[in-house]
Amino acid sequence: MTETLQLRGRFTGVDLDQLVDWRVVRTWLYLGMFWLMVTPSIGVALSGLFNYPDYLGTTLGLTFGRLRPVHVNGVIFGAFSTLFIGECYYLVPRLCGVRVPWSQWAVPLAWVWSIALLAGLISLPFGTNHGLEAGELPLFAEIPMFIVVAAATAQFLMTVAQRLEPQLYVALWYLIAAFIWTTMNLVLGSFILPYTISGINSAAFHGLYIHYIVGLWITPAGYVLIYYFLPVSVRNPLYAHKLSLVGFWSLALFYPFVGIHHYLYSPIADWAETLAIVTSMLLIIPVWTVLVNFFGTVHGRWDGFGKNLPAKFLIMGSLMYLAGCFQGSVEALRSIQQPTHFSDFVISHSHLTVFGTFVVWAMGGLVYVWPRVCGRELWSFALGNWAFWLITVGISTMGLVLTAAGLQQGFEWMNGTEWVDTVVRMRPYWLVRTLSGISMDTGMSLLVINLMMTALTRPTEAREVAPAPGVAPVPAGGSAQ
Amino acid sequence: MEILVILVPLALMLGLAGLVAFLWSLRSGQYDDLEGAAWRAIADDDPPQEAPAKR
Repeated sequence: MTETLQLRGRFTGVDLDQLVDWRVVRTWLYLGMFWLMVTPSIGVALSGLFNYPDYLGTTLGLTFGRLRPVHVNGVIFGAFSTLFIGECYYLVPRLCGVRVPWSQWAVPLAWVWSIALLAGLISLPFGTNHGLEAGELPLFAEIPMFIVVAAATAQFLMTVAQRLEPQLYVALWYLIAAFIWTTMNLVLGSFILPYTISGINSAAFHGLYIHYIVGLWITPAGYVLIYYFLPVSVRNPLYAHKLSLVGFWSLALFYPFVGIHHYLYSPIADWAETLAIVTSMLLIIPVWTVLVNFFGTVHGRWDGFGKNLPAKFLIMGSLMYLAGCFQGSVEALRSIQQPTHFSDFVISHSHLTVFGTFVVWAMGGLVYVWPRVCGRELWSFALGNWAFWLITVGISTMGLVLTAAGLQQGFEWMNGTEWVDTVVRMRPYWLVRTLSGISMDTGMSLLVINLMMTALTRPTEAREVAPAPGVAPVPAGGSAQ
Repeated sequence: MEILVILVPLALMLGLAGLVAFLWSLRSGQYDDLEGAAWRAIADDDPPQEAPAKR
């Protein structure tokens, strides 16, 4: 105990729970769970169109092209970002030892964010679309969303500036980077790019923008979550803090250059494409440093790991990250790009990373934070475990079938097979993809039901201390006393 | 294609900004106590009930 106190340094005597504005965390996470229920399901509905092209009717607004951006933007800015920002309001004050300033504004910020996004997503099927991938939302959604990100950035930077200990933990490094980069990037993608540059020049710049959304928002944001929630959920300090910082700085150095790998074999100059390929391969460095760190952190805690739901989500997401990022780096090679471009291989990559890794990490953080928000244990471990396995089986299957489908179809195209024949042979893969999506959606629904029950049951009882990993969770009615 | 005249220097500047930020953090003593920062992160409200695992 004395050792713990010494290690806490200036944090000694600080009650971390007192620093968190629980109303803010709760609002953001409730809205995040709403998005978690809605926007991935749109993807499942869409995937049915591949096998049954007419099942949504012939309304223009319900065609693939109109609905796809609803799914993609909804998952990135809804399901992932809302949960992420909500979890930041939990972890930033705990890591800094001070409250988040102006936190009374954070509840309205959550509503502005979600209502603006909802309005934007509803307008997309009606044809308001910039035609800029991951930047499709109309201006009336982009302006409020930009303001929210900028305001949250200001809040978190102020918190970090007042921190008790000068040394920043790696999660804070990523947090600072993610928010600053994204505030700048949204200016580029929302307000400059759609109105100023056109043609191939726009494509080159768009490569920068879209890769910043995935690489300088989703990726560092996800790292914030896992670098905080994995050590606290397994109760082991981070395996190697120095290594994690190597990962951070290599991400900061290499990521600005990789965007053009989305446009290999395009009219963009070859040397610029080569630069993007080289830096894409260099990104293997941050990927491997984070993975070594995650598995090193859990080392010695594997017994009882099966009962540790947040850590299970985080480690499963890390395995998906390994697979997804390997795909991403090799896809950037010209010889792999040739068969895979325009094929389902790309869709496999985007689902393994955005969903399999980052949404899963956000769900891991959610499962960790939500019982603390409610001041009681998770309603049902068994239901949580079902949710975990339905999601795991779903995303693994989806990753595998789409990789196989993409490679098969890509090589058939290269061999000059009749295009329609290649499409017909994709149908069984697409059916399995829809089923795996249903599995993921069912899992997420069970998760949200579980968390709602956690919030609704036993409202009068005081907060219970979370059990150490390995100890069976307290059953729904409370432990026998 | 002339956009590369802007794009490449911009990317270089962003990479350079990362490098400058790193050198600044190195000089400002950010890395003097790496272990402490890692331990503080898990020093949560309820302290670990057992000794941390030996590696």
